[in-house]
Amino acid sequence: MTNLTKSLIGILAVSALSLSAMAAKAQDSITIAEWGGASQAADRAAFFEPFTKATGIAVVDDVWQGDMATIATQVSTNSYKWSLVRGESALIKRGCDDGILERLDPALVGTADQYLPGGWNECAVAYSTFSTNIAYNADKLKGGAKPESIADFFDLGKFPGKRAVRRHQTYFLELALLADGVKPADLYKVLRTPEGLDRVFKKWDSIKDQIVWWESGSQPAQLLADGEVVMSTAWGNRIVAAQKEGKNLQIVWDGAGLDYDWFMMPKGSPDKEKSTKFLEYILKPENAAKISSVAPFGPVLKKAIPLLKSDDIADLPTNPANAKNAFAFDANYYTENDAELAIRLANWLQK
Amino acid sequence: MSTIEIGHDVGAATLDKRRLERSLQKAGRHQRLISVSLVAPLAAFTFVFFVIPIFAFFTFSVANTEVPRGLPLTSEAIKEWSGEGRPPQPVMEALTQDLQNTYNRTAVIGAARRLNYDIAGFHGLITKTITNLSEPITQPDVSSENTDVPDGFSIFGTSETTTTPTQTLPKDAGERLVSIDSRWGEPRYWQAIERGTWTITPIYLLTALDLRIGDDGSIESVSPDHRIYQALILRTFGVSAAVTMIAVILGFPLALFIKRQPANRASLIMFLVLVPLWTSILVRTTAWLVLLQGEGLLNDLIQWLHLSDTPIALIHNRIGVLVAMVHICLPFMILPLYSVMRSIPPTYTRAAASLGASPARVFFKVYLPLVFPGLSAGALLVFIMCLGFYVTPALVGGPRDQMLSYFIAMAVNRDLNWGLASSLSIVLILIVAIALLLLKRFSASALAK
Repeated sequence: MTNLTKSLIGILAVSALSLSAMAAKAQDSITIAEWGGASQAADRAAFFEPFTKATGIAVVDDVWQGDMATIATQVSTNSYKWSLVRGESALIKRGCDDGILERLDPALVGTADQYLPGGWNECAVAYSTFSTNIAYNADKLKGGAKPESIADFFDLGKFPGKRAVRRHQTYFLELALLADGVKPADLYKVLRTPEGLDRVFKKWDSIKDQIVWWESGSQPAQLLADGEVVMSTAWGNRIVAAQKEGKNLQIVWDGAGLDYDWFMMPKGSPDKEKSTKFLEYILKPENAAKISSVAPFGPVLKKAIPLLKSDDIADLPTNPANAKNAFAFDANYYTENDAELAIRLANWLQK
Repeated sequence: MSTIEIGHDVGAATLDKRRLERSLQKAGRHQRLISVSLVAPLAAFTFVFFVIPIFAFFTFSVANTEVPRGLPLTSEAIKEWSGEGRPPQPVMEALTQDLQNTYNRTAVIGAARRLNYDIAGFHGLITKTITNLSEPITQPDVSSENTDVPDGFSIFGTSETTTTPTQTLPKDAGERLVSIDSRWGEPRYWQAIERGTWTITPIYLLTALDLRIGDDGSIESVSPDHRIYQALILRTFGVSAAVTMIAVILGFPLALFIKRQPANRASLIMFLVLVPLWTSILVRTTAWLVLLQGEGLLNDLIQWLHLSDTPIALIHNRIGVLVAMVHICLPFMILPLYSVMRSIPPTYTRAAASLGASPARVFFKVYLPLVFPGLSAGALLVFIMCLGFYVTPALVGGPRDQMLSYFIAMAVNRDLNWGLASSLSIVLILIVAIALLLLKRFSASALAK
């Protein structure tokens, strides 16, 4: 055998090896779409990396903004981009009703009594509780007073300046009614009446020209830190993440809106087997509890709750000290009224 | 080749007219064939990649296939219904069967989505009915579930107590549907299904103009708190017209100025005008964000100069949108203006002045008509570009500054409502057509003067 043939064989062998390695890599990965920013980083630290270490299945990140239409398109055209998608309760309910989500194996998800109330669904696995809050930048407030209640958000006399609000119906409706004196338990009763929405928009009219609208979850912390706004609605965990970066942003716990984050699987996903392994992994109590140690998310699995460390509970939305005047988002209300809410909000925004 | 033939004929005593005509035609045909074959690739390209897709997209605006596909039995049965009162028993039974057909679930949901465009809430009504028809209720007992929930966690589920009927559903199909949801007793929901079986539907085009089909079948305006698109169309037109005006006011003097410069300096200025075109619109828009925001450079300068104590709102409003859009559009105004101005000999205006015309008269009577082709081309270019603007208003505008394309994108991406997206696009194209007609009228009358 000449040197040339030897080296040729060598090259061939190496390239064959690297090819098979590449194939293995392509095979052993799943793509999970989330909402970006601090919450995605939390999932990566708590679940993705340990899962990859334990199973060898890599997790690829992607980002979405809650357009269920994108999942519907992937399912109907049979071109799957995402193996699992993170979303809140209303999205899960709608996706499940519409039949665009894979029904999970009952042996995998178990029964409703293993989860916090409302934390069970045949189409998805609830894995963390999150809160929507009001937040402010304590360094930028002029004067001594600090916002303490929902009503302060609408009080331009006490706290002059711009407010940032998510350009979406969730929390927008509830915030106005709570500030208008509706009790958390009666929120959706009022919203279901014909006058309910009028009351919401009337309340917002009082500060409409002071509103800066945000759409991506990373904006509120940025707007607050830059001093662009005095207060903002925000996802609680993003504010806590900003605190860890040394910014003096504070959460107002009054009137917090609580919900679950779920993992759903697009119907017919070719990655079902690997995704199921991932769901099995995060449903082990010791793994499920890990989310609270990296970010202020609480586990939904009841068995994981006793495993939480006392240090990690302070900022949890489900901490009894925080959840006093809180309410849980009503997924049924949102799925039933989705179209109407979108039209009314678009109409009001144009005025 | 043809000239040689003609030359032979001239030599003859009598001119054979017919032969000449034929040879001319032959030569013409040959040349036409060459020019057609040169244009053919472009024509084919335009047709395949432009005309067909646009036409296909426009058909979405009236397409109405979802309901017959999702609810085939109901669509057949509802033909027998007069449209008054509650539909007869067979229609109710057909709907029950359609909704229970699990193999057709995707199409049923498609039909539900389509009906939701007609009556908001129809989608929820259908999914609720499907759930209640298919499964005998096996809801876990909520009270026993709450026992071992830690403090504070019990907040979840308080709103989950849905009113699921515990009694057995009535046998009669109609009674059963009404017992699941009383809305099935209202004729307007059935009328919407009937409208869903039409070959084509007007609802998307109506929605794009804030109109709807009323309960009595006539076309009516939607209630004031549901109106979106009329104001939007006016705004899209208004913002585009305003940007065009500002671009003319800023671009005209600049083009004139560049023309008067010596050649090398003129090319340097033109280069500066064109440099922004090398950067993406997204980058240029974001740059304005940095400049104009409350804590941005411009506001810092204003406060440093003590012109104002509080930051002035320059972004997320109409000012920001106009500034950024004019910046992006200006080169498209200056280029045609400059090229036309350069081709006008200065002798014309000098002649007019030497014959005693005042400077204003020279400008309006001589110069402006000569520049008009460049001015109209630039204005039209800018106006049409502005109509389709999407990124810039989305980034630097507030909710009251969004234009049609924002809602088209939302209909396509978020709602998967291709019918509405297509209808809004038709509105946009109609605006362009109107603008072209107006310009043609205007230029004809301006040149006739």
